[in-house]
Amino acid sequence: MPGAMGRGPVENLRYAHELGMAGVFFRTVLDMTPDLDLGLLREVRACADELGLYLEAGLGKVNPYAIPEAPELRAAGDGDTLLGFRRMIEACAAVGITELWTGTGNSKPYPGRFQYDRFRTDVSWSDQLKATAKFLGLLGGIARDHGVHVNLETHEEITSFELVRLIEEAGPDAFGIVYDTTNCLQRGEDPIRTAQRVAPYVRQTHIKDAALSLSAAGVRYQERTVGRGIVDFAQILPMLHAVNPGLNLTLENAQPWEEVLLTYPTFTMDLMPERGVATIEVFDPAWQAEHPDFSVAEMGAYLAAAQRCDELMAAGELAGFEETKRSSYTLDDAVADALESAAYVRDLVASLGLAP
Amino acid sequence: MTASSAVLAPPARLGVHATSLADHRLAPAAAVALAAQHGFTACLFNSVFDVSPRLDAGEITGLAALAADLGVTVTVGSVSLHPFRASSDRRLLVAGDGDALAGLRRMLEASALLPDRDLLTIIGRIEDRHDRLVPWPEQLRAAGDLLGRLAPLLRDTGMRLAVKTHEEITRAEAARLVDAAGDDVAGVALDPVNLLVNLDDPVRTARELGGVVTQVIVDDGVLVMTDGAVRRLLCPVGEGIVDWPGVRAATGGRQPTWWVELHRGQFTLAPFDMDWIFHHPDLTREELGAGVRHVLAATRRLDAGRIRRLSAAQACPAGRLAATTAATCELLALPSGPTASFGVRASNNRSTSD
Repeated sequence: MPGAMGRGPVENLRYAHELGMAGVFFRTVLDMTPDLDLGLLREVRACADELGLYLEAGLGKVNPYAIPEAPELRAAGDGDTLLGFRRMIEACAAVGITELWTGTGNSKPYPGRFQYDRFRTDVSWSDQLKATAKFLGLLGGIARDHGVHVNLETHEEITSFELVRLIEEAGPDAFGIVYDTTNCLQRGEDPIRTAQRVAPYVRQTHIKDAALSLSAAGVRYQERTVGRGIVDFAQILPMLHAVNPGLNLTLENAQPWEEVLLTYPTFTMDLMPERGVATIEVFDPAWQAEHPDFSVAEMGAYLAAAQRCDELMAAGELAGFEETKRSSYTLDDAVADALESAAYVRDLVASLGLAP
Repeated sequence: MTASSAVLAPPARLGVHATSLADHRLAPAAAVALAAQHGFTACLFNSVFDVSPRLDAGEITGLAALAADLGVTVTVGSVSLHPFRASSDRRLLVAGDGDALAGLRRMLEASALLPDRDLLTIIGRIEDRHDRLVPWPEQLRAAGDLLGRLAPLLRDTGMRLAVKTHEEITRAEAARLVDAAGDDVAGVALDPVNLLVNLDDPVRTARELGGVVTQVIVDDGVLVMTDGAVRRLLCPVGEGIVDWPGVRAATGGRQPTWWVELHRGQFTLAPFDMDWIFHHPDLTREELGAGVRHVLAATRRLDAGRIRRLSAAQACPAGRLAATTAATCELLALPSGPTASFGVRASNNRSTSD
């Protein structure tokens, strides 16, 4: 939410309401209250109920190799990380927040593949997945005791294949998926195929859009305001609705650049001169080797999506990469994008007959 | 064996496909004469029926003798051996008095009157690969059965087939056919510009099939993306994307015969179409990725004017004979023959098959 960092959680709810939004998704419960103040959480809940807003939140990273990068998780348990997760779950459950976001990695401000924890050189991705699966095993009992779902995001470092395997192994009674609609485009996945795989487990969403373009260096990726990219929401939303009619659609638009630096102090303009762009090196055998589920069919569907996007841009039906390129992104820009995205999603939901 | 031949490999043999000498059809004797003028030492006809429609021994040996005087070997291929069409090939039926198998034996016996033993053979056509009524894998199985059935005939006559990597068949499919038939009766005619149509890498193919490659077909091309489709545009050797030194290195040890054949077929490939990918079950993600990257890079390098000029030249392949021959002689370290100082007439004679 634009400007979220400058407001407290209750103020954020009120601002969301002013913008005409139907709810708020706080990334982690610690974003609302770093010391898990139950009184404050009850105020937040009361405000949400008063305004008729849905309230979602989350825990943190569940990859033990990424957890040390968020020391607040260990601190929440006074040095006992698992206890920290238990306390966060208890606090959320106490105020009726039962769908809880988590993730498997942290984006890094480095070029190319080193942006993703998948390509860490100190620990293999398969070891990270194994460690994550074990940690989910530890969380499962706690989640079941409190009647919550721990939902892992289709974050940019993980494939939907891997995520679905994690959920199926850990148990869909206590685990689910936060479906981010563009992150898998950075893993060489066609958005429709991703949606087909994850749909049975989706309990929370990050609605985003992006454009793709073919280049000899790989597939270029550019984040876009929802409705201005290649993600075919008209196909995807009915798939999600068929499984989970009460699913909340949460916009996750780009943060104003000055807020990015406050949230991620290492994401400096020096290291990341361009925001929301990436080149996905799908042609590189080294990249392919790190994606064992990336079959010929998957690659074909992904390249086809990029090629379709190129055609739409060439025909003027979508804006081109250069004209969409941002040299700045202010709070006002973020607000305008949020409103445009919300209107797009609302119109689409209504036209598809999916409105509650 | 003399000391020198033990050290130096014999020079590669470079011949020319009779249909590539001009953009119009040439009588066999005229083709042989033209081949000699270009400095080729062999001239390849589609089949012995092109040399003598009635398989007349005198006519065949007569042409061979005439050619030998000019320093040219007359070589022939086989009729196309598609399992569902060969048996209705009119030439075979006539030669066999209504029995296509007998006709094929007669074709082999007539071919055996000439010095070469490897018959360049095409299995099908591009549309066969996309036949929805009888899927290509079924046609391939039948083709394998057919080659198996012909094996005794080939052994009897001392002939071998050189299965061409034609546009409808992939490296892996050709390799399986030849493996099943046995290398005493079948080898491969490596045709790189056709491999491009299926995103098979010519050098990788040459490395993998090197042991059974008895012929190499020389031509070149680029793959470019225009209007969302990927087109193969043929061009003189050296100006395209085939890594000819790489192909040469991978096949050199076996002394295949090299044929300049200037293709005419204008094909598109559809690596962004899931149906096309489905019809290429042996394609790996490495090859798909490398192929698409190649297309993107080549498209970026070629300006619109060059693409237009290449497109316009596709119908007149003989126009690239001189440049391709010179480049191939250099590749094979052969003395370059006299280039055409006689006019080569362009015509609208176009084939849809390579």
